[in-house]
Amino acid sequence: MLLALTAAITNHSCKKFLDEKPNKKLAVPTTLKDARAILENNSVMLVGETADEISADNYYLTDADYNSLEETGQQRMYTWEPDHHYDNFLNDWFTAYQKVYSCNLVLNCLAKITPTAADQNEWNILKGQALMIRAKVFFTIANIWAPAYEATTAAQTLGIPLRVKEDFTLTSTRASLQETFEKIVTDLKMSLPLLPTVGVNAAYPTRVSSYAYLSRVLLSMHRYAEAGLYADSCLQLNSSLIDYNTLSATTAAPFAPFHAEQLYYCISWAPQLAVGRAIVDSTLYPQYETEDLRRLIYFKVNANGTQAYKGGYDGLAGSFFSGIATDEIYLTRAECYARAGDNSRALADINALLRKRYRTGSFLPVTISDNEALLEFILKERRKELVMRFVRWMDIKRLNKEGANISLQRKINNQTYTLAPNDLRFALPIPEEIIRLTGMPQNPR
Amino acid sequence: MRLFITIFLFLLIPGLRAQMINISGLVVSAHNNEPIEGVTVKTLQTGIATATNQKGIFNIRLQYNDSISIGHSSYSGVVLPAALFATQTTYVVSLQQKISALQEVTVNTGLQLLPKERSTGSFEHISEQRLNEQVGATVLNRLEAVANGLYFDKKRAGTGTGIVVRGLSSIQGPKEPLIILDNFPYDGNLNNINPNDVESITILKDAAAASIWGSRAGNGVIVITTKKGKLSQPLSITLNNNITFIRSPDLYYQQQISSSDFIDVESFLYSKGFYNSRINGAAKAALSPVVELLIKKSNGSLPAAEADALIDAFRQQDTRHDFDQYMYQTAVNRQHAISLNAGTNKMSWNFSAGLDQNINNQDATYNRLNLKADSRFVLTKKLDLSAGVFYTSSQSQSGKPGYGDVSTSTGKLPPYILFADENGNALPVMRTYRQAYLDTVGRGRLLNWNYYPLEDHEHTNTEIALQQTIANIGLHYKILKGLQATMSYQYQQQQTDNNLLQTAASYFTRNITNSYSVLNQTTGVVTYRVPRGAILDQAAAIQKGYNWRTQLNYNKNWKNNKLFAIAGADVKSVTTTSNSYRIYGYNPDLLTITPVDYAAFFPNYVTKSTSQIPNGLGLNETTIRFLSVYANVSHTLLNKYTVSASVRNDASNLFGINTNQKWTPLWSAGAAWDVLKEKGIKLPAFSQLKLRTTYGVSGNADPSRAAVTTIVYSSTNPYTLYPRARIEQFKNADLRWEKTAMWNIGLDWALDNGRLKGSIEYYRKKGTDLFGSTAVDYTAVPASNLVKNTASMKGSGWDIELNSRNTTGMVKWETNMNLAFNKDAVTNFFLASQNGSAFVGNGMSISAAGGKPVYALYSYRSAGLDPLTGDPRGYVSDSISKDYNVLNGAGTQFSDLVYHGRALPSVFGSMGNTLSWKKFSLTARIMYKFGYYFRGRALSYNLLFTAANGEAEFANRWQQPGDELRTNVPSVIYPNNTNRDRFYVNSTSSVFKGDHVRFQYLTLNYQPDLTRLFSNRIKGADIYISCNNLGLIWKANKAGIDPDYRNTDLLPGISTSVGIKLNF
Repeated sequence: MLLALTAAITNHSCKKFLDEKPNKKLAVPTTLKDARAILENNSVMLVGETADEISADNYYLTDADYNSLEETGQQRMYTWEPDHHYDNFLNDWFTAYQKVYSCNLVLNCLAKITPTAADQNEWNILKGQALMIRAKVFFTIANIWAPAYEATTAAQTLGIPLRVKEDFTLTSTRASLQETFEKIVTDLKMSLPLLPTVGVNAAYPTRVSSYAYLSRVLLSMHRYAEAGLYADSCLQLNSSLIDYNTLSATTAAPFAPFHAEQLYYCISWAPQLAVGRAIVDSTLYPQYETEDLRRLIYFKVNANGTQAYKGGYDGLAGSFFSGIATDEIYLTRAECYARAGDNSRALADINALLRKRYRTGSFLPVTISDNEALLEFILKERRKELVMRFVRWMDIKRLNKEGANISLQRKINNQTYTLAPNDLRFALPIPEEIIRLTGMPQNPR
Repeated sequence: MRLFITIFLFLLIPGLRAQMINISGLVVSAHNNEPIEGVTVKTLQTGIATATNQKGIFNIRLQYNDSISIGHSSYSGVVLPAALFATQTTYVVSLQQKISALQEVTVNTGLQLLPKERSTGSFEHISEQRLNEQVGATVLNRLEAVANGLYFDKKRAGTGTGIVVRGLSSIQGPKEPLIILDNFPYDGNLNNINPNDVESITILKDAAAASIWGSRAGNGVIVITTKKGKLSQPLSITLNNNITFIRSPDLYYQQQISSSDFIDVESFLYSKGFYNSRINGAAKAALSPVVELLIKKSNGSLPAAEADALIDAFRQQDTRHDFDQYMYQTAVNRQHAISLNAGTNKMSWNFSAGLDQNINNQDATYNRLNLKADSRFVLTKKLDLSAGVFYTSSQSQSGKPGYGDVSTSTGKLPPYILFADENGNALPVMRTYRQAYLDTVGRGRLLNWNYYPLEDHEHTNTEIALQQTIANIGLHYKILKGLQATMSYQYQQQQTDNNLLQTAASYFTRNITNSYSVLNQTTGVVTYRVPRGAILDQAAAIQKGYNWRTQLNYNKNWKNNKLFAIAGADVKSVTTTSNSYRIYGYNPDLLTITPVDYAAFFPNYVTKSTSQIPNGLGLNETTIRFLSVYANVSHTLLNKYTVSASVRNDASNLFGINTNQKWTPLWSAGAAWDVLKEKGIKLPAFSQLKLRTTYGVSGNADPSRAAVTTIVYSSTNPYTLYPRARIEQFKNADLRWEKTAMWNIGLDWALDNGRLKGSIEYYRKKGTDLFGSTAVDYTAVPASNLVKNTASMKGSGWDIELNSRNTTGMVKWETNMNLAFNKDAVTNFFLASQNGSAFVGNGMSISAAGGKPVYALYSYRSAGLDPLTGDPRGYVSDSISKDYNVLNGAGTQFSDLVYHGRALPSVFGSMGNTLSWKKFSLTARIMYKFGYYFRGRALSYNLLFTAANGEAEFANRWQQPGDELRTNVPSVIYPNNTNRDRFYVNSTSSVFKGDHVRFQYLTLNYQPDLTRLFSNRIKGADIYISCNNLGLIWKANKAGIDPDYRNTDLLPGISTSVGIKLNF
């Protein structure tokens, strides 16, 4: 009798009994809703890496503030030491590949779903967004841990691990720099037809943000014609600029969250960049003219007369915007026009942007006729507009490849540290733990 | 009761006094109604004696007015008047087993009562009497001092009981033993069990445990048996009342940096500009009063001499003084319990009630009411019905903050902070923002933003109400002779309501109200986004579960054979639902609330950073389901050879495990040999000698190790308002069940008629496919470590129990000793990295390497301090090095580390001595743990500088050349190097031997004979005084550290209980 009962239990009701989910909130990602939820995890997906801005020259630290950094690795990164930039695994490499993993999970989940006609649109959007986010992260990783792109050498240069599978038992290997950039460009292009042109806000990737990233990536590859075209495609869909005259310059958080210029939203923060520590580069600040509202909106005066960054382009206070916005795209398009010799269009873009940055009535439109001087002006304005916006490191790397000869210097505790143009250390050391676990080659020093 | 009947009968038939009669009786065990053979029956007046036969029947001739005494070594004797027998042809006498005899005769596995002489497994029985040598509201924490082969790992207790039975069998999986309460696994709060209801505890230690109880039993099983009414038993009432006083913990046991040293560190850091980023930061982070004075001193707003005088005043202060004076008090616990039992031959019942009223050292209260009713009905000769209900209701209220509970936005509270001025008035204490900012913020228009720990607890109250009901019903049907079917059902429900009320006056409420407020600079009007009033956080959880079991018991004796078999099926389901929410602007008197805009982003008053008002909303539902079939058989031949076997198959709804992997088969087999019954063997000294052995295999599937990628939904993305989910588990398709095989051999022996008796057991364990944590490439998966089947381990040990009656006569002296040896070693461990940094640490996580214990302590090899700088030094390839990146990285391989030894005790146990004289008995018990190491606290300059977390050993730091000869504590450097800290903290100098002997308790019992005092109503009385936590008798380390309370723990104060127990 008991055996019969047991057999009955094990065969029929038991299957159902045991299929009950142990936790209602738990799911094996199999639906579009699950894929959406993974991409919506803002604390992972919308938090950006910081090593690029930390290594760049927008700011400097006093000895006291450098010395008070809590981790030795934080100090080593500031002075471009050749190795040991991280004290533990909670670092940029981790957060970057965490986003990559989430995107792969979403793409893997989508591949197993045959969408109904009603679902096709959301399926497309999810795929496009996962591709865009992953490409954007790959680009950040390449910008931090690989050398600047150069078409002639990229095939022989080490790029980054291009993880595209969820299976973590596959060993990570570094692709070439050529493969890395091709993957980024291909994925961004593939995302375009899948994405909608408008979204809830900048936290929701759209075709506009994909265009924006394409223009940034191609710019860094010195493919100016294409970069200009994608910048143009982007601005045709969204050309909003905020008139800085409408912002309150005195507050610590002058921008509203999700303001009109933001195209894709990302927040970053690092102790080196913290408000109260980072001091504006002494050669940069004087470049802002008196009537330039950015002087007041971006910076505040420290007690000792130096200038500090407010941050806050993200709409918060004290943290930094590491996404992409229309002001950058204006500057990219202007640069590309100038490089193509189209001075008038370049001037139109730069004037459109600057008109919104100067005190009402004080702005005199730029009228540089010399093409070289105009390009130089645009690059100077690019630096002034995009301070602490996580593009400077990329700009230094790409411009140095064209002979800009930008050399970086830090002075700390009576010692001077220099990063010469095109120094191998422009590719930061990959965390030593990763090298040990995977056997992938470290960046040459 | 019986006495009244006797008297009544005597009064009724006085004329029959001298008449001689023949009487006959049947003596049965009250426990199972089985006849008892060999019971001595003696007439009191004439002294004629006889004994019961095989069927439990006796015949005797005596005078009508005589009485007979009925006695047996294993049962409580009774004296009955002959007249009683005259009324029936065969009067049935039912005898209660003596507790000590129960121990001899049966073991309760939770599924069956197994005759001890036929058991092959490792079962330890702990009697009520032994448990009650300690006093308190909970019962499980009494086990460590009295049980054999288990100890409490207080450092791991966070997630459960912390009980470790026979060492750890799983490296990464669940480590808790399974708790069985009266035949069913218990999922409720362990604090709900009324210790006065517990009759005994049985601990199942070997592979038989797992094969009986399934995959959750891999770490041993603790079976709690509660008191039941017994058939044919007069009403008996037990009352127990006691009160316990527990002294405040010794706060000065903490090895914290002295106030003066800390002030020196602050002054040093200030001079280096360390605080500049905090001073200039947007967060207006809290600064200590000393740093605020240093700022005033340097900007000239306070004359230097005045500032220095104020700073020096702080040097004399110690925050522990105020904690001691204002926060801690003597705890008082009261316990009242009553229990009633009775039974006729058709029905038995038990009712008990318990009330515990505790006020702890920090003035938090805990009140618990326990009610329990049990009954058994003999419906027909073949059918029995049993039913029982447990009800628990408890309320707890939070008290004052304890040491370590008051912290700031920039780390620990500085050691010199006081809570009250000399008049006892509350002082503001640093918390979130710096005082200089708070003094002027909002031009006084905002709510007071100061934090007053002395009073804040009066405005913050957590109330937890718990109600639990367990109801069970069972039918026992005798199908045929020897074959019995049992169907039982248990329903369990536990509801917990958690209310956190923070009034408008609490710091929390004032802080959040101010943070979201806006001050109009021109009008001075404040707009509050968080409404003024109290904030109420409510959380409720309901756990409902059922357990349904059908079991067949088969018992057959023929010729020289005894067969005992059970087979059954078990279904279990437990669902827990919980929800939480927050109410703003709450008025507890009017029960009014104020709505809040949760969707909008508001700027923080201080930082201007925008955020949403936290809504505190949460919903959860979890379900655990188990389905099991099991069978168990034992066969005894010639009363001396026993073989046993058991098998069990468990299935569960563990997530992500494929259905074909859901069933785990577990089995065990055993044998026993009663040596003394062997004809050829003559061992006159022994009165018992039994050899037994078991072998079995169990598996373990940790619910947290999924074979698919899983996500967990958690509220919404605040920007897009879409639901969001985080990744919980990563697909790990290669995972297999953990498997543990265990072999146990035991010898039960008694010498000199039990004057000296005990057991010796030896066991071996072998674990394969064990879950092990290993470093993974976080390029591939967002985790630094993942669990894989990466390890194998073997373990072995001895459990020795010894009981002796050292003296008999006027002064009785008895000794009970438990001694356990345990060792284990990893046989295979595939760590991806052999870097030393993966192994050094505090031994709390596995630091296993082949041939070494699973939990072991390793250190960096220290080369002492640099004589010139006081820097700690290590070795890289045998040469002295200070390259800390290399020392903490690839420069130190596993083979370069110093291995100290086990991190868990290898020898442990307890010893109790009881001295009895007349009505007094005195029991003292010590506990000991030997053969292990622990890492004590060590100074980290990083923690000292950034989190105000300093160590007393700062005073011993290297300060000048020559100091390296007397100290290991590194010199102060600035800027600090975190890898230098890491190297020092994990080097040899902070490792100590853990060996110690603890005086656990001392209990004095006085059992006066009160029978004559209250018309014979009181059958027994026990007045007792018990002292607990009497401290260490001996310890190996010279650093003044109690190894059970190391690091940040407080040393508990001595507790003293006084109580009285009465039996009616």
